[in-house]
Amino acid sequence: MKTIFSGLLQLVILKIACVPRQGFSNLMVPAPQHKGQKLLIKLVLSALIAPTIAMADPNIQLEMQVAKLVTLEENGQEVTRWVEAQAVLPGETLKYTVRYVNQGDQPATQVRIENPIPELSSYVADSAVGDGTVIVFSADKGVEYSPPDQVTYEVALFGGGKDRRLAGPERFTHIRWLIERVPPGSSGEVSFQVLVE
Amino acid sequence: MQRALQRQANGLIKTLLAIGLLILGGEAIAAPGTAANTQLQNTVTANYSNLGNTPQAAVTATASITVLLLPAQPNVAHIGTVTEGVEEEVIGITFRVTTAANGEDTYTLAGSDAVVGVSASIFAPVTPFSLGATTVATAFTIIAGGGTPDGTHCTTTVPADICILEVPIDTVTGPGSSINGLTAGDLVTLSNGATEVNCTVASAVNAASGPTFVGSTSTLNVQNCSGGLVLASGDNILEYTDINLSTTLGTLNGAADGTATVTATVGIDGGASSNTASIAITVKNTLLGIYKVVRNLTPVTGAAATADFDQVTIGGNTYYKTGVTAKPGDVLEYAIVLQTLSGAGANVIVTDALTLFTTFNSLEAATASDNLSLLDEGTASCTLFICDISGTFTNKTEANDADQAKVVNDLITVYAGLGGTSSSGGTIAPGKVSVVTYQVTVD
Repeated sequence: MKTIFSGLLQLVILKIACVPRQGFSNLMVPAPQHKGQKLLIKLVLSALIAPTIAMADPNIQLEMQVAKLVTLEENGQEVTRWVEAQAVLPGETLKYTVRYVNQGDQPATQVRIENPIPELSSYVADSAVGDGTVIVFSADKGVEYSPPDQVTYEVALFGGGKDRRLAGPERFTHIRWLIERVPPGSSGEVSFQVLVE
Repeated sequence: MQRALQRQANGLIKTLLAIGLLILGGEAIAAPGTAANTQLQNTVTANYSNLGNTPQAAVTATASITVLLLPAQPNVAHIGTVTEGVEEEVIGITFRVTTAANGEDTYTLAGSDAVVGVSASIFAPVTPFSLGATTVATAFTIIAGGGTPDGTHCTTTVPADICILEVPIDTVTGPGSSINGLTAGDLVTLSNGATEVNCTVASAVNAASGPTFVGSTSTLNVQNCSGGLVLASGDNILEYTDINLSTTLGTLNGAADGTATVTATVGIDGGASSNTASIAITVKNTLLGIYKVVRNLTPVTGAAATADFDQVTIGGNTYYKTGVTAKPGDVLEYAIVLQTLSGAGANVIVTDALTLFTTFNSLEAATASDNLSLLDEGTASCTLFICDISGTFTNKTEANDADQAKVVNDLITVYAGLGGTSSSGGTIAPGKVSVVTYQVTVD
């Protein structure tokens, strides 16, 4: 659907491009003679400009890969590498890498990439990375996000009342990467690691 | 609020259980981890706006990964009550084997022993067996008590005494009534790392092989749980089975008792074995009890015999150890009862000299069908010292050379027990009886 819509936008762009510059200027420059003319001009302008603005939206696309750390023998030496994985053993560490790209023609702003910690896994401390991003965490299923050393969770006190306590990495439930601006055509990646229980 | 309080209470219970376990010095089951065949699915979402701060449609991406079987040596413990036997006796020694893996695997158990004063035992081979395992997907509380017929119930129950546990979909086995090798009737240990309870699987419903774990689970219904337990997501459900190791004890080297320390070694089928459990079995000599009782077949004109604590009833007739009176010419019938009190009797031979002033009623008297009868092996149902013996007696005649009974020079010889011949005694199984009856006339 999005692709079809994009195709239509491109068609409109082609049509605008085909409008003779002179003719376009004639539409814009001459002063309207009366109210009926003014309205007509406004309608025509709206019809031409609106698709141009819609076409200029950003278009973020995501791709995610999961890898696990394996020990290989290379040139007689043991080396550890992340390799794409489709199966895992309990106790192994997984690395999720999210690649993003803005395929639109305009910058994407206030980009928030959010990832829950997968079920039956626990976040590996200090493993979340992302160049040019601000990384915050949640310990309450994504309700509140804070820097890693300020994440709190709520506990109900025995006998009544509630208390908020600092949450360790093992209590993190969500990660959020904040990116102020992703220019058109640019891409990046963020990643984090979990320990499969 | 209520759920938060519940969580806190659960945490407190777990803490108390852990403290209790430390005090008792108990050993918690090691957690094998997330169930095999579980598909871990992770979905990332990106939200963003355009230059005009207009939010755009969120986009997502997903990655899935399947958890593999992590093989582990199973745990084994002796749980039987048998701690002694007699030489050459076949006994069953029960060991409980509990999986320590995160999914279904096949295991072996083999017996061996170290002996003192007795020859080595012989162990019947045990067919390899499989045990399943899975993981709790959604926190759950099992509450002991509650007045249901089996004394246990769960917080969410349909019907009342069945606990419905949500577990990850076994994406390899596929939809059906088996989840990671767990099916109806299996015995499972539920463990939260600090303590555990045992339950029986009532049924298993594996959901359609789905691409997701989150929000989509299979159902494992358990019942007859041995106690209460607070379970969290990720806690383990481990199958166990009780193996009855059939063991033929060895032969004693002398008169003294011997000891066979029997060890069960378990392992992964086709792999190395490591975990063991042992039990010392005392090997004893056979102990045979013998009782001789009598009744007067001639109508008694005087006082009847009085009942005592050693009377025996055979086929509706009562025989007494004491108190029987007779006069010359009366016919007495004696019963010699042999009972195995420890182990099985072998080559059982009974000899009995006729009582003075009595004459054996000839076996050759055609009408004296009851002159000497033998019960090779029967049962004795006893209340205190009064026993009722049941079984099929056969009459013996001296004319038959192949007979198990002989009377020579007032000495009765009977080759008693199952399989007895004219020259060798038979056997009496543990707890069974063999009985000889014969008749004499008072001189």
